[in-house]
Order: sequence, then structure tokens, then C-alpha cells
Amino acid sequence: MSETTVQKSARRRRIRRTVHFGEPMPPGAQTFRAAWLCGPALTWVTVFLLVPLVFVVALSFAERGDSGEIVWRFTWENYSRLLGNGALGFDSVQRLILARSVGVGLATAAICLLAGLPVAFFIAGLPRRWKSAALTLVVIPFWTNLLIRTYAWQLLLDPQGWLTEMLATAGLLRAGESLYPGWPAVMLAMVCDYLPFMVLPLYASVEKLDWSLTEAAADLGASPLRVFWHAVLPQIRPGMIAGMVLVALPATGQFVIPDLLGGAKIALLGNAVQQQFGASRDWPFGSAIAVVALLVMIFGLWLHTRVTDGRREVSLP
Amino acid sequence: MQPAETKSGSPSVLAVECQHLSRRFGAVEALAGVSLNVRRGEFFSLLGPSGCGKTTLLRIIAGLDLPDSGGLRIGGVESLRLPAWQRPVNTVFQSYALFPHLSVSENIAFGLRMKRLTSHDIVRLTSSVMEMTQILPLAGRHPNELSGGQKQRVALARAIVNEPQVLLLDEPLGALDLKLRKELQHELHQLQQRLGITFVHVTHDQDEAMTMSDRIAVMNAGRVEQLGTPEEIYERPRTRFVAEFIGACNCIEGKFISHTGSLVEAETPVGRLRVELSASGIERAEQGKLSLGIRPERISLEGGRSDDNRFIGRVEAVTFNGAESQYRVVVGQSELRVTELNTGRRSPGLFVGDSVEVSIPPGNVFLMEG
Repeated sequence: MSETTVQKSARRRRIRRTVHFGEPMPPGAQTFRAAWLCGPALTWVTVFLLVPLVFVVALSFAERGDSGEIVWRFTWENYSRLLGNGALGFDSVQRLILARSVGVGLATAAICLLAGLPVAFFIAGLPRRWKSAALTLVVIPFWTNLLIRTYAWQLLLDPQGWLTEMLATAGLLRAGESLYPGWPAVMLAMVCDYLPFMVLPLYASVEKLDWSLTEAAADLGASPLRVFWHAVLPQIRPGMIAGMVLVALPATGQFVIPDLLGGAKIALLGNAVQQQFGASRDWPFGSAIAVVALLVMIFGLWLHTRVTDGRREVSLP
Repeated sequence: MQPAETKSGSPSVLAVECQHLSRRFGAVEALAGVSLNVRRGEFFSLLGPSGCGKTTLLRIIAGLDLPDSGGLRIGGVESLRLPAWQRPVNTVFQSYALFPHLSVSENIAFGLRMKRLTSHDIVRLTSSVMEMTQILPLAGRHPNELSGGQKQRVALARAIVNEPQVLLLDEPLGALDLKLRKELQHELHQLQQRLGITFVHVTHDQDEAMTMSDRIAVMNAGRVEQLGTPEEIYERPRTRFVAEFIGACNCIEGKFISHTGSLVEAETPVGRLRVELSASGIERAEQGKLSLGIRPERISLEGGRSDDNRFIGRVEAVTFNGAESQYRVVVGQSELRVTELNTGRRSPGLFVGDSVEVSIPPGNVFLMEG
């Protein structure tokens, strides 16, 4: 008896969740108005995202003319080049770039996660009035342009710079070695750039953490490490996954940092696209790379939803 | 009283020993030097209003909080230095604190997994405890698919499956409705008898404490006001706080006049009152001021025995409660609360303004401190 009323009120609440400003309206009309209000955003996305995207996909099946113009003739050649069928026989460069990009994306996300977890817990543990200040500090790097930050790294890590000299004196670098240009500089800048994207969602889930569950776990005989693993980690998993996605996907497509700090040796997907659209004037091939990059990211997102949905499915009886 | 008590001194009799435990939260003194012993195998309740420190004491025993000073022994072992996860106690939390990402059976198996038991043993123990608590059909469900009563049972099963030396219960029935609470009170009591585990139970519900406990510690403002069996605490409340917190009480201030044998005569707002007291009670009474109490149901409006204190009063208010009626009767300069069972013997009943004979048996009046 009481259960049915509970169910009924739950159903009523679900219906009410559509846009409603107090006046009685049939549900159909509500949906119609909701759609109408979405109009501006929808137009924006269609004109500036969907149409160009379709154009890029179409372009990836076109041919490059001799002087870099686009020839609208259908071909698989761009994709076959990506798979390694170069003009001069087998060429693994494109596949290497793809693997390298995904690797950099995942590595950046992993390092950000390890570095971000303590930060998130630290901020969540601060007194209320310090919290917003700490979160502002996390976001402050965004106030500076990415290019400027990246050039700043160049200066900071300069082979003749004081930091390099200090590290060399400390015996951490051998003579003639330096962090820039090369992988260390790229990864350093990547992690610094994307750390806020990890810290913010992590912080959001740490803030919501139900500490009574950690007490329960300890009460049931879990050592601190196992409390973290069994009672904390499952709770902050959504934040961890969100952070991983927010870092890994843009990091995979990053091109400014590898370009400026990698010493032109480290090319990622973004650099490859930039090169094809720029110097090589091969828009069709650049489009093909872009499409593949897009597919990689969609795959990543799909994996993410599968992991999270799978969890929910397992949890049902 | 109990055979175990004569052997006191051997530490194995005592499940929990608290020595002068103090705990401050900023300006609030949650515990002000609490000392009490819980005997092995007993159902012990910490009873008091919210904020009296009972939950703090429970959390200190569990190892989830540390006292500022004092000592704690569990099963005879000095335990303050032990972290929560190494103490032989388990807690049923007020919020249940079930792991939302684990199923019912996984929740219950958690403690056993932490002890690294074999999966065979885990399955065996988990299912037997689920059977005992009647939640076997819920094994695959998740906490968000359970009702309050079901969650309560799971929380209980998750704790007792570990066979702790002491089971700590933090207002375990607080969130449930009255009927379910009564039902689970009974089950909890039965379970404790069957398992023989020491239960330390925190509650603010005096009925709950009275029906389930072997002994009760009534707490107020970080102190233990009285510790004893439910009968002792109800019949001989030591302080006015205890008398008023447990049941209803007519509290009367009196002045000592004389005593003959065990009968003390006192001058009170009600009138001259003869009170039967113990030897130590008489000693205290002779100091002059008496703080007396009498339960509403121990006063009779139907004519008592010849040696009762008898007064003529006037009915001021009548509240009909079904099985019983409550009256407010003005006697002398004071108003007494009286509860009478509605046995149907008094056919017209009493009405406001009626004159009535009030009988107070001398043995039913108790003397309190201060």
C-alpha cells in the first residue's frame, strides 16, 4: 500500500522533470517548448560543427591535386597511406604517430591522476574558506595563454638556463644533456597543462566522499591501504574516469606543446594534421588523419561509457 | 547476583573497561571522565539525550575516535593504541554505512575478506549469517534496492559474521518506524541471547533500552548519571535527571521532620508525607532537605491501603489514552500526575473538578540526590 504510493510519487516526479515554469501544460507542449528553447544552441552546433565535420569526412575521401588543390574524386588512398602504404612502399610513420599520440595521452592522464589525487584530497580537507582559494590557484594557469606558458617552459628549461645548470650540478643531468628539447619537456608541460582538468573532477568526487564508509571498512578490519582501495576508490571512480577522459582525449590531440618543446622531433596526431593542412598542402590526407583521430577519441569515450555502464549492469540482481 | 560477578578481578569477565575517558570537541565537553565496565555476554545500553556523549563513547570503543585522556581495555587488553581495524569489535552504524558498490552478500563478506579467509569459508559463514538474519533472498541485491529494515538487517549481519568480542550498535533502530522498531528490538534481543556476544547499544529511546538491556548506563552531559539494571534505574533513580528521562516522575522537594524505624516523615508541598527509606537513605534524609520522586502509576485514586499517605485532591485535567487515563490532581500546593489503568471498575470515571482521595504508599516514594 505505502509502496505503491511511493512508486506513484516517484513516477510523478519523473514526469515533472521536463522544462516547466509553474503553469499547467500538457506533456507534449512541454517537450515542444524545450525543443524550441534548444534552437539557438542547435543552430550553432549544426552550422559550426556538424557541417564542417561532414565536410572534413568528405574531404578525407578526396584526392590532392598536383599543386595542392582538392580534387573531388572518391578514393581510399588517404586511409591506405595511413595504414602504411606510402608512395615509396611500406611506411610506418603514420601508424607510429598514432600510437605515440595515444601513448602520450594515456601517460599524461596517468601522471595527472597520480599527481592530482593528493591535491584533490588536500583541498577537500581544507577549511571551507580556504577551499575556493585553493581551487582558484589550481585554475590560475588558465589565465595565461597556452602559447605563452609553453614558451615560458622553453626559457625555463633552456639548455643554458639556470635550472639545467642546477640539475647538472646536482648530478641529475649529464653534461650536454637537457630537459628541453625532448620528451621530458613535453611531458612536463603536458602534465602541468592538463592537471587542472584532472584535479577539478577528482575534487568534486572527493568532496562528496561518504567517510562513514571508510569508517565501516576500518571497523571491519581493513588496513588503511585496503580502506583506500575498497572504500575510497570505488567512491571516487566517477571522478577518476571523468578526469582521465578530460585529460587523455585533448592530450592525444595536443600539437602546440610537442611542436614547441619536442624540438620538431616529436610529432603527434595534431602536428601531423597541422603539417598536412599547412606545409604539405594535402588537405585530403590531413582530413583522413583528423577523422582517424576523431575515431580514436570516440573509441575512448565509448570505452569509458562501457566501463561505467558495465558497472551498473553488474550491480543489478 | 550473577555467578560471573563473584569472579570479578579476573579480566576475562569484563568485555570493555573504560577508565576516566574524556573527550572535548572545541568548547564542548563530550565526555567528562567516564568510567564504566561492560561484562562479557551482556546487553549493555548507553542511554541519554542527543549530545550526551554516548555516541562519542561508542566511537572511542570502536577506535574511530580517540579520547583526550583515559584508558580503554577490550577483553582485558589495553586497546587505545590499537587502530580500529585491529580491534576485536564491530559496529552497526546508525546510517548503516553499507558499501553501495557491493551486493548484500559482498557487503557481509567484507570483514571475512579482510581477514583473508578462504572463499569456501566466506561463502559458508556469509550464507549462514544471512539465514539467521532472514536476508538470504536479498543476497544479490544492492543497498539502494533495500528498505530501511532490510538495510538494518544487512548492517547487523555484516557485523556479526565476524564474531566480534563486542558488537557496538549506534542507534541501530533509530531510522525505522515504530512497528518495525518493536519487531527488530525483539529480534535483536533474541539474537544477542543466541550468539552470546557482548552488545553495547547506544540509544536515546528509553523504551528500547529498557526492553532489551541487561544493564543501562544513563548518560547526561558527558557523564554517567546512573548505571544499573532496568529495574534498578526505574525503581530507584539516583538523580532527578534519570527519574525524568526514564518514565514520568512527580518530583517533590521536602524537609525532614522525624523518622521511626524505616519510615521518614517529611514536610512537602503535597502535605506531610511518610516515606520508606533504606538505612543510607535515612542518613541522607536526616541532613534536612529531601528530593523525593514518585511514578504517576504508583499513586492510587481508588483508595489504597490503611498505611498509605492519604490526601484529598481536586482533578484538574483528564487525558484518556485508551488503556490508561492520565490525571492531573491538585494536592495541597502541588499538582501530581497520576496514571490509572482503565479497568472499567470505576463506571462514571473522574471528571475535571471532582474531589478525589489520593493514596501514596510510603514504599513507592524514592529519594534522589540533590
